[in-house]
This record gives sequence, C-alpha cells and structure tokens, in this order.
Amino acid sequence: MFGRLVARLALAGLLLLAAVSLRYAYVDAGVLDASADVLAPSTQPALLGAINEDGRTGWLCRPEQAAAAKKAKNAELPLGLQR
Amino acid sequence: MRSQWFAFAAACALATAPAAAQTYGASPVPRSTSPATLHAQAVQREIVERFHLGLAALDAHRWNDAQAEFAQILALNPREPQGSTAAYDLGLAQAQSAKYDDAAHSFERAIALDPGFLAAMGNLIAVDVSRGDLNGARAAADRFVALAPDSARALYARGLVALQSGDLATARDDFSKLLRNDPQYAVAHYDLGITEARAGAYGDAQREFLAALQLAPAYARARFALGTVLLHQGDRSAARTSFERAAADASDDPSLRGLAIEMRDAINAP
Repeated sequence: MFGRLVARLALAGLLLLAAVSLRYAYVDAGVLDASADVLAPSTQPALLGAINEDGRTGWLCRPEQAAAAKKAKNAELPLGLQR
Repeated sequence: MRSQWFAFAAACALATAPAAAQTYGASPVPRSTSPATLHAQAVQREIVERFHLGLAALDAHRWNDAQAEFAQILALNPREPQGSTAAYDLGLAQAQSAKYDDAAHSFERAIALDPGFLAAMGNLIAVDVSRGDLNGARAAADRFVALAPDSARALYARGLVALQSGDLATARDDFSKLLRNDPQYAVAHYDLGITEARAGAYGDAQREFLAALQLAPAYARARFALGTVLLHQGDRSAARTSFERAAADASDDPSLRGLAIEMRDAINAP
C-alpha cells in the first residue's frame, strides 16, 4: 500500500518536472526565435564625403584617405559605442 | 657721381621691396588668340566654377542643385581627375536623395574613368546594399579588397556583404583581418560574434561579444547578442542579466530596448 503511494508520488513528481522542463523549453524556443531576428550585423558605414575639382590624389582628399585607412577610426566606420 | 648712382639704385630697390613682397603668384594670362584654345580655357573655368557651386549645394543639402551642377560638368567632358570626381560627386548627391540606381551608375562611371578610385568603390558598395543588389555590392567589395587589402572600410564592407549573403567563411576572414589590424575596434568583434553565432559556434560568439563589451561597455546591441548566446547555452540567469542591461543601455534605440525587455520577461515567465 505504502509502496504504491510512493510510486504514485514519484510518478507525479516526474510528470511535474517534465511539464516544467517542457514549459522552459517552449518559452526558450520562443525567445530564441524572436531574438534571432534582431541578431543582425551592424550597418554599412555612412557614405564618404564630396571631393573637390583637384580629385582624389594628394594628401588633402579626406574621403580617399578614409577609404584606404587601416584603422576603423580613420576610415570613418561606425564606432558602436551606443548600439 | 658713382656713389650718387648707387644711392639712387638703393633707394629704388627699397621703394619697390614692399610691393614685391605683396605680389602673389599671378594666374597665367591667356597667351593665345586661337579660338580653340580660348574655348578650352573658358570650358575649364566653367568646370571649376560648377564644382564650387555643386560642392556648396551638397554642403547645403540642396541635392537636386548639386546633381544639376555635376551632371553639367560631365556633359562638358572634363579631363581626369575632374571627370571621375564629378561622377563621384554626382553619385553622392543622387544617393543622398535616395536615387540609388542612378547613384550606383555614377559611382561605376567614376571607377571606369579611374580604376583605382577607392572612395567610389566604398560608396558603391553602400549604395548597392541600399538598393538590394548584393551581387553588385559583393563584386565592388571584392575589387576594393583586391586593391586595398588592409583598408578597414574594404574589409568591414565586404564582411557585412558576405554575412548578409551567408558566406560565413569570407565574413569570418574579413572581420578577423580587420581585428588583426585594429584590435580595439568593438564593432568588428560584434560582427565576428554574429558570424560565429550563425555558424553555431556559440562559445566563439560569446568570446567576441564579451571582447566588444570590454571595449565598449554600453554597446547595447552586443549586450543583447550576448544574452541570446547565453540563452542558447542554457545559462538563463546570465542571459536575463544581459537582456536587463541591454534594455538599460538601449535608451536611444526604443525597438532594441523593447525587445530586450520582452526577452527578459519571457525568461522570467515559467
């Protein structure tokens, strides 16, 4: 009699545990699905600026210098400090 | 008599010295009376003047006026570098008024006139992405990287285009190289993290997001991405903390803030 009660309680406990696990899995799956949409790469950088009649060659042409720069800051790339 | 002559010469030299000091480099006076030469000089003056007007219009955000000036310069068949430069500036004005197809055509024209024009390649990629032409963007990005393999903009732009096209290997290579050249660039860590997450390498993704956050602690999008990766790895408590912090840091991005709050609450739900 007592053994049967223990078995029933254990079974109920297991069922409860499975239900909770399923609930967690269901919620997590929903969260992961939703978050995948915003797990997006950063955006393309802003356009480089205008160039005067002297053209792109020479040390005064900032857009061309930015296009060739090795460091992100000099290349006028987004810095991502806020986003 | 001789000393008087020297005194006179010295006085003349002193009198003319200030005038000489104020003399600027004179612009060349036309020395030809040939109609063809005079016409060419007039056209060149018009080109320069239209450049000034077009650049002033760009500065004032008068995009249509700028387009008219640069289009007129191109109609005058300017020599290089003014031809490629006018095409580039025209593309810039068109892009600013969301005429992306026209802008792409202008940047391509600039590159055709000057095949080493890196700034035109950079802008062409951005415009191609804006008009949804990922193949065109990738072709321009490949050319950009081939010409300037260490250019941060070239690597960044091609990495993003590759990532959008699902070419994770190229994206990983480009962001990794960008980071070798500039390890302090938080955004490249973020994009490399996104690449790894898409490849299912959540451990590597987590490492990159943490590196981005170490460099830029208020980088809300990286914090949010970290939360997602932590959730994938089953660390619900740490994920919830990440979403909480992302919501706090995303005050200037209402959609991200709302989503982070939604994630945090969804984790709380059971």
